[in-house]
Amino acid sequence: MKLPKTYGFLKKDLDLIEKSLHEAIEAEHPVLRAASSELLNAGGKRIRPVFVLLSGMLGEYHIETIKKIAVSLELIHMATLVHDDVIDEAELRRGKPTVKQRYGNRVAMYTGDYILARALEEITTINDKNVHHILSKTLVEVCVGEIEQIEYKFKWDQTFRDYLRRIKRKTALLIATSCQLGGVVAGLSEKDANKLFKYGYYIGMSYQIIDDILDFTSSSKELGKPAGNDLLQGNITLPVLYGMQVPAFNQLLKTTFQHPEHVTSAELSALIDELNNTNAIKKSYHLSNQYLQKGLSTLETLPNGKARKTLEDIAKFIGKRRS
Amino acid sequence: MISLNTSNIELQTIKKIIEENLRHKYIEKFIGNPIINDEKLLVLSLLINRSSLSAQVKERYILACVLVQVALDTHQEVPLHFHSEITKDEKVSNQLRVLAGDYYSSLYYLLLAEIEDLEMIQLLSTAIKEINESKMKLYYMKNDSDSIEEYINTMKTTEFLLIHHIAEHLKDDSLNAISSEWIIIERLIHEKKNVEEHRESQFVNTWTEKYSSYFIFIKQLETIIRNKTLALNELIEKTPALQATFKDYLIIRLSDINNNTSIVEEG
Repeated sequence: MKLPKTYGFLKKDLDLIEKSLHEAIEAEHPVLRAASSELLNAGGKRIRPVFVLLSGMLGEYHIETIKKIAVSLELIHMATLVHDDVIDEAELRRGKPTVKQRYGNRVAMYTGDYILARALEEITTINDKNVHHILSKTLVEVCVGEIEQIEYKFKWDQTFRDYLRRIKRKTALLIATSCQLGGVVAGLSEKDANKLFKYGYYIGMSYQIIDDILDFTSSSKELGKPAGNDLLQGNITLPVLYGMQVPAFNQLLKTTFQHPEHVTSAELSALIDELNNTNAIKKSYHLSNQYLQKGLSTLETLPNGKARKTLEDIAKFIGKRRS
Repeated sequence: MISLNTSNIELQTIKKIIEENLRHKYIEKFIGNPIINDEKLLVLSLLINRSSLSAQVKERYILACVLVQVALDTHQEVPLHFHSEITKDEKVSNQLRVLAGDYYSSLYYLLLAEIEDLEMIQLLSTAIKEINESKMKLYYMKNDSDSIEEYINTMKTTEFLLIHHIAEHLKDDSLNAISSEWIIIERLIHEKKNVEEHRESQFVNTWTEKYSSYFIFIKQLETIIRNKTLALNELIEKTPALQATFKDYLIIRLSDINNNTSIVEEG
């Protein structure tokens, strides 16, 4: 089963969100408008809006308010993607040319800034101080996480804790905040909104770990970028940290990356093969699953119904994701 | 360095507070302290300090505005291309310019969310949106279809949009004409330096090839700067209500500019 099928009943509201996203990026300048639209039209799972909607369904669901949260969070996510592609010098995203690739760094920077500004313009129409306390803190943390990702590149002596803190900030926090804010605007108690935050956090951690695994186990075609690309960029992820506990892989890794800028695709392939000879992938899946189970158990005390069931199904789907 | 005393917050103190708020060890290591535009800080401080807001709100507003400006300026420093021959540290600097700008942006939101000032968050977001629209317009301006005067006018709009929005919000546009003219003069002086020192800038890239020689280009720029300083001097004279310390500061500054803007000789 594909992920969208699990939340097929949200289609009408997701369509509304999609329409609002398009309206939100209708810039006056034609290139700014084109760059934003191309990014939006390239697709994406819209997983953050889905989490917002489902969380909102656990309380008093008013689509007009919920929609603003969902649109803003997706816009924030889009803005970070445009800037990430400048940082990574990425040519493709979801198989299509990145804004940076098509229009250059300058336009990509302006587009990201424009989209983030639109996100904040949109969300400040919600007059709820809690929403802004939560979201502003999250945004700062996400930025700190992105900076840490650069700081920890090629840092072979980093710990598992370093990695986990990084993916918390980089991925899990925005998903956790999507769930929490959905609950907050739906009038859930602080306790229940916090439970949704925890669910989102655990699911986000699990999701990112699997993403990091897929960088080594999927084909370039499936990924829309070369396999092993994260490692090539210097991002030391969970499978690599587990792999480094095995002397043969550790040795090969250090030798291969003595001059990171000169690593060939053949050397990278050999390294991926060696990693697959270790139990690093298995161990990574195990940790991902532990987060997933925690996420599922967090849901148990929330109101039972379609929305909770779907949040459970999404968690299970994420756990089974293999491409 | 500006040491002008505004009504109740001394600028150097504000700069220190701003630098404290922006401090990030790793960013500092690679791209240094953020550069705070003195002219904009001065105008924003004058404008905000003479409003009837509380001291705490004034300080937050100034900080938030400067964070926005620093974020935009940091992103403007992201190179047009990440060249493959650069060192590892240069690459990290390039990447950090992108992230530092985003980080400063997130701080302005946090700062205003803490005092629950949604109106100001919205106002600053709108300003950022319009500034980026205007920057796109500038980026796509061509030296064969647009004149240098049109380009400079768009540059002036872009540079002044943030202050314009704040002035509108505070219902105080009395500084707009003078400060927008002063800010564009300072920006042109900066661009003239870029030309003289053969540094890359969007302005230099767009206009260098239009002029038959480097000297003609600098002469043209100096003429524009000189005309603008004359116009600004007149404007200052015609504005009796201008705060005396600000007026004195501007007159000295304009005199400095005129003394340093000697028309270069070809050859």
